[in-house]
Amino acid sequence: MVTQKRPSWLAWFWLLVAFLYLFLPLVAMVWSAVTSPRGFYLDAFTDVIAAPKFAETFLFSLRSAVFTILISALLVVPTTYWVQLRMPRMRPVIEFLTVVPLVIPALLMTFGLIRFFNSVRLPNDILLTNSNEGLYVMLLGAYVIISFPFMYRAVDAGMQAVNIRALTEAAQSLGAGWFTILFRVIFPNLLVAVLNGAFITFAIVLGEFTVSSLLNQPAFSPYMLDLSSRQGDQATALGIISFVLTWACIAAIQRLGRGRARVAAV
Amino acid sequence: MTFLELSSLRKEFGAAVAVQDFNLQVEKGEFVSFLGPSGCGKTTVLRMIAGFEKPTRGRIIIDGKDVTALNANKRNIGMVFQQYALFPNMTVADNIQFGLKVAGADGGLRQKRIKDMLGIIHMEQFANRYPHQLSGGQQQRVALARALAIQPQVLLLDEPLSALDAKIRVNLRQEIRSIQRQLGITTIFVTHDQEEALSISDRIVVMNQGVIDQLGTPLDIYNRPQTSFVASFIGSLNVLQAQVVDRSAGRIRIDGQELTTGERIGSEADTVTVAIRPEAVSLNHANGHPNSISAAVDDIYFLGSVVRVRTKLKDQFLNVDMFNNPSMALPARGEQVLLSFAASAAKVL
Ligand SMILES: Nc1ncnc2c1ncn2[C@@H]1O[C@H](COP(=O)(O)OP(=O)(O)O)[C@@H](O)[C@H]1O
Ligand SMILES: [Mg+2]
Repeated sequence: MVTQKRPSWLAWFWLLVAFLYLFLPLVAMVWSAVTSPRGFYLDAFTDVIAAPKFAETFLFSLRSAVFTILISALLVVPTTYWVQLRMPRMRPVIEFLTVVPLVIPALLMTFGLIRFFNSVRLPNDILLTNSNEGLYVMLLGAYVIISFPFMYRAVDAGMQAVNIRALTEAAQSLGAGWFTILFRVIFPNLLVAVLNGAFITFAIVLGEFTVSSLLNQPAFSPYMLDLSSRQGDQATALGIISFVLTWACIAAIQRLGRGRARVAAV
Repeated sequence: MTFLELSSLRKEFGAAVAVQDFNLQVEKGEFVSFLGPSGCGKTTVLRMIAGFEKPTRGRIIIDGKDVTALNANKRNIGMVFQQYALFPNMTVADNIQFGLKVAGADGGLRQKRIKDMLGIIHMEQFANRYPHQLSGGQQQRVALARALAIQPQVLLLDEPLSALDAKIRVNLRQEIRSIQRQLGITTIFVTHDQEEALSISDRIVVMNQGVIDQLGTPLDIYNRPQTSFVASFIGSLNVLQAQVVDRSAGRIRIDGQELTTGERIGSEADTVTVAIRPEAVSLNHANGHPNSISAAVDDIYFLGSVVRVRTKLKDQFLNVDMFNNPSMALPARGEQVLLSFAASAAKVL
């Protein structure tokens, strides 16, 4: 694995190009948000942070992201585990399914969801699509579907790395049932993989626009768009803040999982 | 009294038969090894005993109770795997007490058992280490402690030493044997290494292509192989083709030279297979043995305490082992030598 060859100047050159490609737009964004004909100013930032809708929508998306991660981890880990252990021949099928959310536009999926659930009534006889809770559940459902390919691939890779069959059999011979095996052995050893999936899910949900706006949910992205049509400066500032916040949150998740993750990674 | 009984076990994977007509009775406290080449079905039998594979046919009885239909987690069997299979997210102590926790044992009992087990494997100071902080040999000892902590009825070990290096392998196999004696636990040990099986077993099951070829004590297996497979698999036996000269007198001919075997030649065949241990042959030293044949020295291998001289008859090779002795005169390559051995040393298979 260790190669002695040093990277040549060409490698450094391409690295620099990629770096500029990724970061120049960010720099330009920051630049345009903090300059005006009057010179340097931070009004756009302070205005954005002071607006009540900022915290409201950001927390809404944050909460949705956390729920999405929990639901999809609880769905994907046992499924992947079962497929690897009992139905290895099903893996290509599942892998194919993971592509579906990527090729079906979120717009179509949301219309599909709305049409499908339109006739479903809640116990109190209100149409599912007419209740706020109903719409929120649909939103989470859509988020889980959208993040499924990423969560699945992360977890699948994690399972390849630990010998889950041997661990399962060791636990079984020690008397453990499926529930114990799943929650005391499999989940803890897949923590790193689940975290990897969680980062991507987190970023996707915080930036997601189509579904939340079609379902009329007070999410962060629609608010950003709404703001940009009225105050361009503030929208840019909001973009930068959301970028920083997303990274901060991901760093926080990583911190949280790191102590145990280091143990589980070996 | 039979403690573990396997009767007419058979396992098919699709059209392939991995194990057939496997019958074995193991006494309480006995140490039995399954020995055979890779792919002969050792692991499959072990996994059926553990409950990870359902037999296609046959029964598994432990202490008088038929467990064939029982799930693995209801069987009370300890298992040690080739790939250490410790839980990476748990410390040594937590690995050891895992089975007790599952069974709902109280904290006091668990702490005591952890302490006992760490004592047995001589790893008291490692209780709070994680598996990745241990060497392979240490991990395997913890795996053994974890399996023993639940006080299983039967201990199963599937090539537990094959991932370790040679020196640790020898030490650990002796340690496993002494722990097994100390606890008196009925044990099945799977290996493809004949030296390992010969050195620590009460009895050995030699397997070939899914069936038992021979079952016996290490001495039996080594000195009285019953099939040509066992003969060629165990030790460095010389296996030669011979023509029958006189059935009743036990006279046969190997590469044109006649000799006498100690055994009756039962079959009506004209050619038979003869096995001769390399250490049963003396070189240029008749010793009063009735059999003497001449051969040419083909090569000489120095193996430490033993020197192996490979000689060539006409078409077939015959190895001769001698203890290494500094004053011994070794023949030169190409030299003609006389090979002598007792009639009983030439076994017709
Ligand atoms: N799950 C399985 N599916 C299909 N064939 C298997 C399976 N497990 C083992 N086999 C086959 O059964 C035979 C015996 O395997 P195994 O018991 O692992 O041998 P050993 O442990 O002696 O090396 C081999 O030919 C192997 O390919
Ligand atoms: Mg095997």
